[in-house]
Amino acid sequence: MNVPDRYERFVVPEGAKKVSYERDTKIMNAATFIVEREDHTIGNIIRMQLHRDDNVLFAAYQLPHPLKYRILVRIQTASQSSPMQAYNQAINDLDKELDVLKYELEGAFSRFSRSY
Amino acid sequence: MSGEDKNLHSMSESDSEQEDVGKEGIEWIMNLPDVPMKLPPHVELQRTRVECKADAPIHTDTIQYSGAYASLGIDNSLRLDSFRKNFKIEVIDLKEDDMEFDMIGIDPSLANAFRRILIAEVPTMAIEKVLVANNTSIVQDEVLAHRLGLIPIRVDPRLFEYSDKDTPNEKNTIVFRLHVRCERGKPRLTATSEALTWLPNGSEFPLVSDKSVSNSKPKTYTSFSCSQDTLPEFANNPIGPKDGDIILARLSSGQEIELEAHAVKGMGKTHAKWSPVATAWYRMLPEVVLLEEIEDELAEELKNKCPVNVFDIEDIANGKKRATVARPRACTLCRECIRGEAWEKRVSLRRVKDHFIFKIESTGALPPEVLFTEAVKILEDKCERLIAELS
Repeated sequence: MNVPDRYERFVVPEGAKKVSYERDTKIMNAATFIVEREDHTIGNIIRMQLHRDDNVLFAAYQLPHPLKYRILVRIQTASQSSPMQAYNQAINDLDKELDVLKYELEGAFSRFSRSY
Repeated sequence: MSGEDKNLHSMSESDSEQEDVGKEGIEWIMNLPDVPMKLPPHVELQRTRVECKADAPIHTDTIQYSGAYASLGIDNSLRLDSFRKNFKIEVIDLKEDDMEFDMIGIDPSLANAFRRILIAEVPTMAIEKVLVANNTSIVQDEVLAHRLGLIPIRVDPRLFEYSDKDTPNEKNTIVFRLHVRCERGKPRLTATSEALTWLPNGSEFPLVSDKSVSNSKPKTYTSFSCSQDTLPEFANNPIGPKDGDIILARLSSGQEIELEAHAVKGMGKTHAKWSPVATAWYRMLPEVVLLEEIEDELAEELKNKCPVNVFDIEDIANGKKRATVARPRACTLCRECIRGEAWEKRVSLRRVKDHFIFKIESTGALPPEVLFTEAVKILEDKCERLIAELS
């Protein structure tokens, strides 16, 4: 039948890149990142993290179609930064935040003795 | 959030740099002692609380833009150190299969990412292939296969690999056998998930197409190189369904089901049967504030208005009574207490925007706290991939 393959949802097709970068031709310091096989989970947190950056003028993500398993992250920055720099910094910051979160989590679980 | 420390910082600066004062206009103004360094209380309330009014909630958005309060001279950007200072996790309740904990100082998008990952991306094992040898029950093969798929299996999925096409082996497949029959003349028999028996040596059904040498062991649908129960993880802990009382089919006299079920690793994205949680959800912490003293008959009225018993009455001097908010966590924000004339002026219902009450109900493959740690790891991996595979 014409059912699409289940694995298409999370396996990046051969020859395609997980993340590709496309510069905007009309606006300075603006670019779109195309992230294959990701969805709102990652899109929304990247957008959140980018908004916290002082140099980011515009940041948004889009899931163009529910059956096209990719997101577009569009970033425009001030002139002292670049979309690439903002993107990298956002994800690095996120990584660090998750480290803090993991550490706190371990502490919280070890403090709580199981009640059964 | 960083208003306080910025205030301290600027104070010390103005002490040490007396001679520099006046050189940089705006800096100098910001260093004056009476310049507000915090948001005015009403704006702070809008920033940190969702307010539930009788008709609709207001101020529901989280303000993330770093320069949102720049005109007030306040930096809204969130730095890692302030995240570290404000972030907190408190476990409220932890049982075998469910857990409630509070995550404080986190953005809704992160809380939602964890929820989404828990539901759709933490792997488990579930029955994917069912080889039916005999089924004379009234449950059709495909319906039975679907029912089998949804049975939670008590096994740590981290010990298994994702299965490749056509090579089921001991590292990626668990085989169960189901053989139930209702003898003729006997009353109806209920086949439950308890009847699923684990075959640590793999499939026992010979491949039909196999016409190879007859002296060797017949080829089966799986090729296990060793028995799974010799592995240390499963030696004392046989694999089986989490619950033994799930009804699979009811057999009347003379009916029989004989089949083999192969469980593989997968994730909830592909099919909900691989989802490790029954539910994973969060809500923001409710906050109930009495805007004025509510006494005597009004207090009684307020207490009776609330269906979940949020309010209590305490005695104060002169035989008077006063309403207090005793159990704000129980509040479901049904808004019953702010219904009716003037009540909205007496009670304010709010939600704390960065305080999430997270609840995870595991199906039983992994304990809930392990599920959450797995979810955090998955999110970390995702972040790393997004950096590493940037061309």
